[in-house]
Amino acid sequence: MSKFSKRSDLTAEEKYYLASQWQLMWFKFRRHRLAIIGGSILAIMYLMAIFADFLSPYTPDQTFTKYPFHKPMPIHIIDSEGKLQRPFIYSTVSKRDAITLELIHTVDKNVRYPIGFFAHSEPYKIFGLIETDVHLFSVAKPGVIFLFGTDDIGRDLFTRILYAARLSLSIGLVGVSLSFLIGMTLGGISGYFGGVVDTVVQRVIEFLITIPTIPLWLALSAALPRDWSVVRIYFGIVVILSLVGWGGLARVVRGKILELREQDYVLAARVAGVNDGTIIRVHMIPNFASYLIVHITLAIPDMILAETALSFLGLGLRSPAISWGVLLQKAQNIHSVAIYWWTIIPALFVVIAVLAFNFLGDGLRDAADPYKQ
Amino acid sequence: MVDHPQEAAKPRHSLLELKELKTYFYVNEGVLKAVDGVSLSVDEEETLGLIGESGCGKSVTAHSILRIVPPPGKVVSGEIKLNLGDRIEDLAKLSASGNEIRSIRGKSISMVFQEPMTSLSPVHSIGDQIREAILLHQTNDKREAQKIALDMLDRVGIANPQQRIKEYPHQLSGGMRQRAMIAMALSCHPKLLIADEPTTALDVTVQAQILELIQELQQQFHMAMLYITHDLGVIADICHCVSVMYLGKIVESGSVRDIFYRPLHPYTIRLLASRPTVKKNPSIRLESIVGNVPIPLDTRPQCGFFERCPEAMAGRCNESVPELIEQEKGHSVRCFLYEKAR
Amino acid sequence: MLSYFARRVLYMIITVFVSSIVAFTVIQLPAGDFVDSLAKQYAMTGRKVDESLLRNLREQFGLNRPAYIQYLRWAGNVLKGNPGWSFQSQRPVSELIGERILLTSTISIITLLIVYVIAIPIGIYTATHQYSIGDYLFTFLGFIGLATPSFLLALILMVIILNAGLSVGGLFSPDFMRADWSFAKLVDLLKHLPLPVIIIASAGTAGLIRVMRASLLDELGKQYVITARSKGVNEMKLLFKYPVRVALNPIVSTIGWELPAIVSGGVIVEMVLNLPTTGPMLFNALLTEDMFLASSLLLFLSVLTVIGTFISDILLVMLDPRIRFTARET
Repeated sequence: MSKFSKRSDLTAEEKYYLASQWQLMWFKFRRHRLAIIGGSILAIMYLMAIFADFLSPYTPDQTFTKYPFHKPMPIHIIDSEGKLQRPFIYSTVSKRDAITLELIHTVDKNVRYPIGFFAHSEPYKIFGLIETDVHLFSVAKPGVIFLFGTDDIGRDLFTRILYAARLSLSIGLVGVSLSFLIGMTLGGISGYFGGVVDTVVQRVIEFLITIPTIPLWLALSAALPRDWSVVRIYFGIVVILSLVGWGGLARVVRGKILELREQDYVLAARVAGVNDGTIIRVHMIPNFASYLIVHITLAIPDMILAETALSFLGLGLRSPAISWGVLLQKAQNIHSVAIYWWTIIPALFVVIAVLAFNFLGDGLRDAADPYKQ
Repeated sequence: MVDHPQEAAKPRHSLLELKELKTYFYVNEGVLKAVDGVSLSVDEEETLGLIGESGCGKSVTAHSILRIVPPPGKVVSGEIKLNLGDRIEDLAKLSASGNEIRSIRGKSISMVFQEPMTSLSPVHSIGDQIREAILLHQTNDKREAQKIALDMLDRVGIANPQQRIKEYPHQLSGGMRQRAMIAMALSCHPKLLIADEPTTALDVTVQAQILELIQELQQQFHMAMLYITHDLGVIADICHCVSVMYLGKIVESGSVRDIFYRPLHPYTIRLLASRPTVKKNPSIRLESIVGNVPIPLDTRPQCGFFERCPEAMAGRCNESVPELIEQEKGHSVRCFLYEKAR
Repeated sequence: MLSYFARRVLYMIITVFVSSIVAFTVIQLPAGDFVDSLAKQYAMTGRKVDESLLRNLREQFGLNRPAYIQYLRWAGNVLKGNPGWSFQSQRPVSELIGERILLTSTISIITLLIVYVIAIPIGIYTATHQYSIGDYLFTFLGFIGLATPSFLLALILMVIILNAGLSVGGLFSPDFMRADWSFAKLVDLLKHLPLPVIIIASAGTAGLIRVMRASLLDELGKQYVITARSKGVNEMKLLFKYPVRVALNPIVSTIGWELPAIVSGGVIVEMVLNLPTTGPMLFNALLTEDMFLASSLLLFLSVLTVIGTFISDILLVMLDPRIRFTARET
């Protein structure tokens, strides 16, 4: 009977015994396929947002006055004669209808524009520093490529959706960080010290939860002065969303601290003379860090939905800032949506992002309790 | 130690007989063989003690008898023969959710569990929970059920039963909760009571009271009992026969005198030796068994005790599984030390 | 027990009071007041705006007094049953919000009931049939319900209904909108209710199904379920009498928070569907700084949710004897 066996000789069962807490969580997480999918989707979306300028064929403010409300253009690889070609799109001819004065776009199957990769198009600055005009794909002028169609003044929706991802996805992160800071501090103090402080904080949180959030958001957003700059409004929205949202996190933190406060190892640390701050930091927080991560991951999609809703109503971010919610303002009129259905596509991105976060959060939640069978 | 000379002369009928019972759990990591070929028998009005360390499969055996093993566990093979008087029923063949097994549960065989606080529903009064079994198996009349329930509470020694019967589990002390659970289990006069470590979670003084109560009631009700525990003292006190369990198998079984005075299996011997006694020299180190109880996952075809056995014979004990062989009347052991070499 | 309820009622009153202050304060936040917004409106239509006229209007509306005086006058009036005057429509607030309050309350309560009636059985089913097709299907639907913003769902459903050729939007057909209440009007209302109720209920239902499922899964493995089974109780009866009963506790205790979520989620849907309820009216009042109207509406919404919390407290006490007895000691 050897007491020391090589790592590779360990049976599955022994590996299980020896794994650290974080390793156990990783094992369990890996098995949760939906969570992996969610995580991958999110990684793709964030990369998409970061490299939006390179990935899109145009810039968000580029207007094609000839093509307002253009339909999405499908990419073809088989031409009208049935031959295989490089991916291309057909050209569009627009004519004004004599009676309704509407611009009608018809597809001209005679003219083809092959899609060029690493093509030259409108110039932009990478990370605001280096000027270049290389885009991942585009078509040669005077061809146009509108994968998701255009809006009412002829701006490419595909481009705008990619750029909008930046604000939509970042507001969630920034807002949650703020909520996290407030919630952790107040929840931690409330739970650890108890007594009057606890009661006061608890009442405030209960009150915040009972007030209907959306009317409160509406009211607070309406209070943001119309003439504030885009950046200020962005942070204003972030502050509003997190001010209303920190309650949930604070309660989780408080609950966990109350639970852990009574644990024997905390008592042991106190008896050994460790000060309060260190106890909280070293003994308590690692114990519920996993729950915090889960809660935060699940709070982000709520923020994204909230910002989208507010912007949709016109109370959130405003032009020239673009987020998916702002893009959806064009979809307010039910009759226009019925005709120009592609204006809803930004909402699809919202749904996918929120779903991905929820899958990820679920997987994390399952993994967070590695000792539960 | 139980010593009933007149009872030893009485011919006993076999009430429950387990033959090569196997209950496996199909988990992500593989097949967990919690019960891997257990054979034992309990005679009428007799007490069989089932002893072993935590994790050896004692509780799963008990759950298997009543067919309440939770998924992913399954009774895979073997027989559970119950003598119902007019016929013998093999419980292993019954459907776990069918009517037949339900008519046996609570009526012919009852079970008392270890932790009374979690074993009783927190949102129902104990009267409700006791009456439930009565209404299922004995009578439809609610008032009669109430009378029987009150009588049972009285018999288990709960003072002021009229008041207590309306109360909820969290309002009773640990000892009272266990008494209530016993009342619940015995309310339909089962022929066999399975007690799964009923006193482990209680204070020592309360333990003694509950043990006494169980023994009294057993005599009053003429019940057989399968008493599961890891406490040797209790075994010595109340059991007629003992089966020692290790890693899902019975490794030794016999009368309580056989086991305590003439233990054969190395595990049994070490188990008995590891008890601290008053007589020994206080400065001698306590003897303990090297190593830990392994998990019955990916078990190899060898003696389960091989890794920890001081008398293990490499080449024999790790090549195949020994059989349970009777060495003297009523005393069997599963060990190659006692098998003639092939 | 009585003291427990007395404390809850007292707490309710305090909450409503603080809500009124918050409601009033929030309205004050935007720079300027109603008269400014009125001036802007006049300017847009080209009417000449005179400073002295503005000053007179301010005096008339009491807007030149300090904020807390305005609040006290308003609060005092509310208690007397007069929630103020709407500047924008030049009518008493009570006239404007009367019918709308009724409709909002109806929609909210019906939605709440539907959420629980649908979510609880589905939650029970998915917990007891884990990993079955039904479980995966409902989990999938649940996720979609959670992820889809309510206004998107509203838009999609409206497009579908439009294509099907039916009239959409609003709570009444054009004929009944201004008519007096009658049985026929009630029927018309019922015909229009399903759309908003389904949309508002979707997010809440999805979330509740998951909570119910998790809660029940927790209880199913517990020891007292095994005990009951060992007595010979049949599976169905066992399921509902024991684990479901205990698992309902966290569900019931959150009714109090479900109602605010429904009310607030409803606001956006009401606006998209253009329903004659409090949501759209609040939105307009906020934009035009129609102070008393907005504050009254916010106050109403808070009161609605406070009542919901109170009801959930009562239900919880009824359901869980453990709370009943600790309540006695507080």
